[in-house]
Amino acid sequence: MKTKLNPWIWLFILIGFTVMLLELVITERILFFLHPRMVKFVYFAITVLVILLIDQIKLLYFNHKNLRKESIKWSFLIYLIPLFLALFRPTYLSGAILENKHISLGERPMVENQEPQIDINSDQKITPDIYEDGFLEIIEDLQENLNSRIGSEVELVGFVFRTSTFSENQFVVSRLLITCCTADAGVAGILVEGENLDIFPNDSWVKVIGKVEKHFYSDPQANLEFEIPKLVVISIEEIEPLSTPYIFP
Amino acid sequence: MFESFSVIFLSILIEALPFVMLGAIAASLIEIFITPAWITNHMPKNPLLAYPVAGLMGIIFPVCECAIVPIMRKLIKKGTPVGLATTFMLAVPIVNPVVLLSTSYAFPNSPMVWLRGSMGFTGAIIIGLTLHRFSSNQILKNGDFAKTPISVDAFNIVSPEIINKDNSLWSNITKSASKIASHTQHELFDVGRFLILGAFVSAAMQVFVPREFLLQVGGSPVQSILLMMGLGFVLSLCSEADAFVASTFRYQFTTGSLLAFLIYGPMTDIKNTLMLLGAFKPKFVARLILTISIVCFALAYLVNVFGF
Repeated sequence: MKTKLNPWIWLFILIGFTVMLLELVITERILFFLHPRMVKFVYFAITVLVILLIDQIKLLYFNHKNLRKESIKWSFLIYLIPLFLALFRPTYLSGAILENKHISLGERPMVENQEPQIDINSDQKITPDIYEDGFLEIIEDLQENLNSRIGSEVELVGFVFRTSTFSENQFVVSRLLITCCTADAGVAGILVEGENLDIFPNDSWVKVIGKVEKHFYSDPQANLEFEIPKLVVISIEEIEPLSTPYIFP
Repeated sequence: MFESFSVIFLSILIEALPFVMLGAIAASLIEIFITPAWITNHMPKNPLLAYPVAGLMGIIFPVCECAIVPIMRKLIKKGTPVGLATTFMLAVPIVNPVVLLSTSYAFPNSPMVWLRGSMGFTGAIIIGLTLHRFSSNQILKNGDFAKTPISVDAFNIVSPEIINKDNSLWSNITKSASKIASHTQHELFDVGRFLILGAFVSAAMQVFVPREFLLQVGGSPVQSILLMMGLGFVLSLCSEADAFVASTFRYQFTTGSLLAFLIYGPMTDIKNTLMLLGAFKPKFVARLILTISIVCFALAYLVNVFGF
């Protein structure tokens, strides 16, 4: 069946993508998909889409007599898939899929028969002033200066994340770390240990205050031993999810 | 699960879309303003110079691997030696500013941009020289440029004379502008389908393939390269966008395998093979793909061995 519908369908698709991108940018939900440094490219894409929209409208308004009748292109269906999925306004990554992601626990590999690794910024003490929810800064500090942080009190806010390698009284207080887009998100966090932690379900958000200790962790796949920071719980409470839950290094 | 899949799928798509648009606009500009005659006239005669120059041509002509086949065909018709035209065809979709830009955004703080550029350049020259030695010059398919099953708007190479000096400057500008817009539309439609497909497959692999499998294959120096080359061949992604798909695997796969994906894909894939078969003799296409596969594998393996 030959029709003149094809340019109309393409117009609809162009409008759909323009609206989708505009909505993401205006509501700032785009930050659940992309690192902030990539957002300027989305502005560029929206501009191009608008220009193409205008061109397509011109074609349909002025040149409609020149349009041939042709069969509907099935390829248009492929374009409807992302538009359809976007209608549901997907936003959050759930716990189940996070197990497939790269996980960073602030590990340092242990080499046998060697002196403990020299800490880089040993002099700096952790005080609440330096770390205004600098989650990334805190965990990087714990990773680099573990030996001199043992015994300090640290406060971290993140979501509960569990893997099978840890025991029942342990979980990882984590954030999702985005380098370019959510597809390459990685889980970054610190191991937390305490009593009755199973009342906090996976993906719930918590504020943890704990004492820093060292924990030895063996990765069965890599056949390596690591030392990672661990927080022994002093206090822990469930909180509302943060409005900006991702960290963008 | 459904929501996670949607987020990952859409994030790859949204991230890559601007770069695909850049590529489409660049391709339209080249279609309108440049002819293959210009290329053959400006190629150095000395073979020692000609191959590297062909390898770097992409910097001036950032053309996607989709649109490069008709150009290659016109070059051969005009008498360009097979090896040289091959190097040009293979290097242009890799060593070009749009592709290297997108690669740098997909792999920040990583040597991948330099690896991709240098290995793409080197590989294209090696493959071109190999075909120069082992292929005849009669590679054009007999008869007309057969219509390929995938609809690509006939690559209308228009000579610069289309810009009529007699008409007013404004009418020339608007004529060119609407030509650019309509070429861009078609290019975008054509390429966008594969981008959506590639993002879909990539997101599905993240959500449904168990981590242990990915780690096992991804960590092995040989298996990882083979898997990534296979993926690159099947996905037929535009080279402006494939870096974003590759970067989703960056934690589980060896650098060499990611590099293989990023140079093998632009050189050959299903879509590209179909187009080549429409223009050239099957024997040449087979030799070409075989050589590309061996060279890309070897370069990627060397990268893994030297521990990047």
